[in-house]
Amino acid sequence: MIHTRIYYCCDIHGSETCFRKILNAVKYNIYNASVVIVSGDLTGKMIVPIVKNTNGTFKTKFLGSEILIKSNNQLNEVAKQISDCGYYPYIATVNEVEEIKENRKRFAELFSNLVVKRIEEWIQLAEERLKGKHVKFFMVPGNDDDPRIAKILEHSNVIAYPENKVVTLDDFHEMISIGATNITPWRTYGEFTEEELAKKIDDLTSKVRNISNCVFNFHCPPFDSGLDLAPKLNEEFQPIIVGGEILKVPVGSTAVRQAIEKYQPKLGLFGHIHESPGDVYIGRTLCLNPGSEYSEGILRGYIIDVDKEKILRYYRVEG
Amino acid sequence: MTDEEKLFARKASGLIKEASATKAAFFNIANIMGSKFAWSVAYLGLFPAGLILGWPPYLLICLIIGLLSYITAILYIQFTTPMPRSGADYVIPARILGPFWGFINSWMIVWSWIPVWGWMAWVTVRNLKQLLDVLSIVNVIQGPFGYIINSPTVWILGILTIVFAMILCMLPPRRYYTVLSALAVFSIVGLILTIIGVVIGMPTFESNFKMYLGYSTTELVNRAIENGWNPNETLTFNSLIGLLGYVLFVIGGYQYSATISGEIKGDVKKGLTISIIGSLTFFMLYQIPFVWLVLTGFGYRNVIGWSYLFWNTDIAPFGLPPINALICTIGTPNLWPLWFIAGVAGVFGTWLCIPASMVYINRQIFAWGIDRMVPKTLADVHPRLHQPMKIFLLEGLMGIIFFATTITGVNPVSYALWTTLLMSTSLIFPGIIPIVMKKRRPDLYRAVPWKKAFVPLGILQLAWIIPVYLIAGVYGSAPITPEMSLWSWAITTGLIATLVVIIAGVIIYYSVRAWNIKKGIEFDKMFKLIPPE
Repeated sequence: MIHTRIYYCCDIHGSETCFRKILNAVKYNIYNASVVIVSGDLTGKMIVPIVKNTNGTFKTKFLGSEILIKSNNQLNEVAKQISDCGYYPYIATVNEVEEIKENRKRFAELFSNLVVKRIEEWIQLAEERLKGKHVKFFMVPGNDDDPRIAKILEHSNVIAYPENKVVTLDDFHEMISIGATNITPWRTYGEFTEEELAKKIDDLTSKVRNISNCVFNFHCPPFDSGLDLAPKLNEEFQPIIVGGEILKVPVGSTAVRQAIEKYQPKLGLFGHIHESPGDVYIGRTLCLNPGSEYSEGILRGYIIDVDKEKILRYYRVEG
Repeated sequence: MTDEEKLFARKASGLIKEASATKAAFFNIANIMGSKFAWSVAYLGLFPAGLILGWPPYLLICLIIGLLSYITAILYIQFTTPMPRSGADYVIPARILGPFWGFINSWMIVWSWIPVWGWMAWVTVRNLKQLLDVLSIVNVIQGPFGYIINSPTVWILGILTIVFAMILCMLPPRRYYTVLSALAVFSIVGLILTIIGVVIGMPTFESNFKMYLGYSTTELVNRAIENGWNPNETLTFNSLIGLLGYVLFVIGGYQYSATISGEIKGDVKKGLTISIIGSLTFFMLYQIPFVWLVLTGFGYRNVIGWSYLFWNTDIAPFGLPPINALICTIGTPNLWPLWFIAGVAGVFGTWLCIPASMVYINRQIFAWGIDRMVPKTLADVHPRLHQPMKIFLLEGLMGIIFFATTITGVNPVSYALWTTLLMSTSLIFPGIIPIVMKKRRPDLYRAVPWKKAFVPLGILQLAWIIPVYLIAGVYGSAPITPEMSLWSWAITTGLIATLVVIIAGVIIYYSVRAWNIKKGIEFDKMFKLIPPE
């Protein structure tokens, strides 16, 4: 039986290890997928300053440890460890670090530049490793991702950028992608009200030829689906504690939920909430959230085999 | 994340789990206590031997095995931290040694525990009966209470014991860990009350003992001697390995938070360190100074002689072993409400082992379901209770079945080799994992804490566990005698029954593998390491 194999992962958050694993999975045909979908969030969450001392050594604090760096080899090794976890190493003097601490505008600029630089490096690496591979490789940002990366992704020769588009996966399946989410407490780059999200989804679905065979690749999971449990926060962004424990509530999108219930696509691919991985059917739609352990370098994903009629099989993989 | 690190971080949600480090520690403690709690000294008559360096050999063995277990404890923290998972006893060997070994390891752990629930249900009912016996000694209520451990009461109470444990497990994880921790704290309060009982009861114990029984503790010791006990017996090889084997298997449980590591909140390394090292230290404190205090307080010869009489004759005082609540009640009978509370805490301490180990096993079966080792529907998580309910129902059913087998006289845990053999891989794999991890999972190896000590500790683990396991665990638990045929030895020690379970696991693994492959699931790729460079 002819079928299409989709490999889906998300929320790698700048992890060098995870991205290289994705490329190697394609390069070495590990999953034999003809469609690879890497959804947001793609970029990291933190800069780790490496302070240059006056005596030529460096020091940094990483994962709770203070590290004294005495050689260039060690410097490269530490910088790699930081990048592997998804963070951005940044070498600076004490004064520069102090300035970044004080000046949030400077921090935002630096952050954006580091994010863009890593995405550019990734695209270059992807072009080397995916060359000659007959794989449809999609990358779509999430709400956390700086809008500047969209342009870089759009101009790649090997990576397709499906955000806000209807793209074809094979002869029978189309996919619509929305990396934005509903409003979060963090006010990140890609957030919309539920009404705005609903409109975006409706606009996209109106362009789909066969909605029952469509794949919804939305970063935000459907509300109250079990794929969207996260801590309830107070006004100071601190988790609300009840009885000594963090209160968890569904934080997914009601617009996404309604769209799934209304259109009943074949497959829904979600992410966003790292701590709520799983698979669930909403009506006939299989909804998946692989979760994320990017900082540990563990690449979580799903293999989904689909044919013209149905989902043949799906299973979780950990690379 | 430190304050300075936060300055450089973009705001975003982090991983949120349900068990705090403290609750994970109480989860381990609840697993440790089990039948040992109320019967801290009551088992010692099983291993009579003289004093060494002024200490009973039991305490020295606890100290030695306890100290060696810190190696195992640190290894669990090390190899679980890079990949915290629910069902880590399955997941980690599966990812590092291969899916077969992961499945077989957890299959054996699962079967080592399932019959225990039936056994522990009986022990809980028996402890309840003994608690009422103690109350009847001080005339608070009138006995006899033998009907409690006879049909039909024992059936009703035993089944209720398992059903209540199952219901506790079915609570949402946050509430489950809270209730379990509260009950574990209550049980520890019972221990503290017992310590008080020992201290204040020491001066009056002898006279009160004579008042209740009509004979002195000297007479008690003489009766034990007349029935074959040698209070001056020195430690022999056989008694040494008997003690080693016993302690090796009662100490287990301190590391079980590793298997709920996917549910530990915040810094996983810190959470595991607090829970694993904390609960092992609790075990050491509770087994060594506490038992020493009781033995010293009421007299080594008195307590061991009493325990010996219980295990070897039917003339033990009151027909009971020297359980904590009883010896405290004899010491200061007018304070019986306090010792009653300690006794109730002891009953809960015994019972807690069931809901704690049910979750321990549940998470392993859950992880099988996620990896398609069992039908995936088994791992379905209830949308409101956030628990894999079907597995708990199955566990409850199995618990009741093995309670029935306990009552009718055949529970596999009573076989000498059942637990011993089924725990073998879980004792040995912690030593093998560090040695192979660097080659097989370099990505995970990079994230191992205290990395320089990882491989040396693995080698040390194998160096101590293999000889202790083979000599004490296997040979010590089931010595073969010249008059016994190999076949009858294999039957009576449970070797055949255990091998049947292990072979069934192998058959199931390969059947499931074949079934999955037939369905198009590329089984070997589910956990295949993708080169990280």
